[in-house]
Amino acid sequence: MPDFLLKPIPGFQLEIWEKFIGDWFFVFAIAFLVFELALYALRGKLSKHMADDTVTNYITLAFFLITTTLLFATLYAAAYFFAAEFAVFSIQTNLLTLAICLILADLAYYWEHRILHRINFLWATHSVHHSSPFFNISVAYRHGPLDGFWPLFFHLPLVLLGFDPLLVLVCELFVQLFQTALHTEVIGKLWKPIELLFNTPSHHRVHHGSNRKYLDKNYAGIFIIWDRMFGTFEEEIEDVKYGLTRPINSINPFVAFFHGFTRLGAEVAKAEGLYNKLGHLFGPPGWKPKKKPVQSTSEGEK
Amino acid sequence: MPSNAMRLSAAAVTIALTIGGAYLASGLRYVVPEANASTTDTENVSGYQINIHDTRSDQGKLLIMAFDHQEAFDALDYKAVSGYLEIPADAASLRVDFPDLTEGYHAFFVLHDENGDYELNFEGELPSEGYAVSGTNEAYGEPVFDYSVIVPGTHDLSVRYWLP
Repeated sequence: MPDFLLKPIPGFQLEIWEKFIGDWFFVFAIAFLVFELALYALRGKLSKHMADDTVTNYITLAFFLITTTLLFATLYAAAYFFAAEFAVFSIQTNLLTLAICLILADLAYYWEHRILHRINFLWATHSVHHSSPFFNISVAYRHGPLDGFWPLFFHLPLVLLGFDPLLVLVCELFVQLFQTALHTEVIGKLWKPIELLFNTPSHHRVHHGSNRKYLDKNYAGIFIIWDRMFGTFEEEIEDVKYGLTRPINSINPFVAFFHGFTRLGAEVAKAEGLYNKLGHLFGPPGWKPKKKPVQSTSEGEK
Repeated sequence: MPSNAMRLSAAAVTIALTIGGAYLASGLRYVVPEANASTTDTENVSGYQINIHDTRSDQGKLLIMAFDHQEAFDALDYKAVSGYLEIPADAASLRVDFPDLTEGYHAFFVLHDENGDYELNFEGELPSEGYAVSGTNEAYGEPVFDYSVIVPGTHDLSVRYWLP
């Protein structure tokens, strides 16, 4: 085995990479957004609604950063470093273990994402990301109040298994950034082997569709193989209708940011009896009380 | 929509891949087979095994200090250390053992003392000599004792140089 693949990567190097890549990716994303909007303008598709929605996306990002920094960042770091004390294996950080950690972090992300879509009280926060009726790179930055909290539970097992907490955080960032770059309509389908193995803009457009056949499909971060393996893959065939099946019809950032919880709260308050209230909280989106079919559609709503 | 059988098998595959992947990763390590120095002149059987990587030259010495309290760590007071070793610098990876430190937490500081003055030298605000600290410190901040303490075991430290 070549030495450079096994040479330990120090923590400070991971942190330098994380900061460098995170910062420059944001600059790239802004530049790419300008390019996308210019293309929409050239094609006569740029509207005031789209421009306002784009601004809303970045305001929800600000809300998200504030809540995450104030409420969850310390908890996240403390949980990871505490869990590291109980690690099952001793895993050195090097290029090979980074690759393995990245694959496993992507698999953890798949499940995190799938479960965020299938349990109502988790969907309440993630639905913010899906509430834009448009699809450009700014939508990737549209986050809900607890979007920074739930990933903790899905990636903590990697730390418990022995991966360095910093390495897990860096891999989470890589998965997130890869997926961010997929939020675009300007890139069509890619070379077949790439579409087969990786998540692509085409696959992710399907994920953001509210078309019946596209609901709850393509949860992948980097590798689309998880969807193909676990029965949640759908190919982009028909035109995608973006957004929620119950649109929020608002560009107000407060409405966008909190709509999931206000809707959930109203449903729980209206439901009769504990069973029905719990059903609304823990059931899938679109869950209906008994006496009617358990779900309104075969896949719930989006 | 996936059936329950598909969901269960997907969960089982995920658990197997995750544990299997971590197990595989645990075997992919850079091993420094023999200790270049030991506080007890014996190979490590317990206590700390510190692997030092990325020393940039053979010039000068490596001073390896273990601290068990903050004041000594903050002052880099080598007279108040819980463990100390001094070896010739080497651009290859080196291993030092502290078999006698078997309990509690210790913070390790490695200084590449290129000019032999037993000090971490600075040019302006930046260190002009390389150093490595155990634990997880902020990349651009000063090392903090509480973030630097580690439990006995094998640890890899990479020497960092701020200036060429």
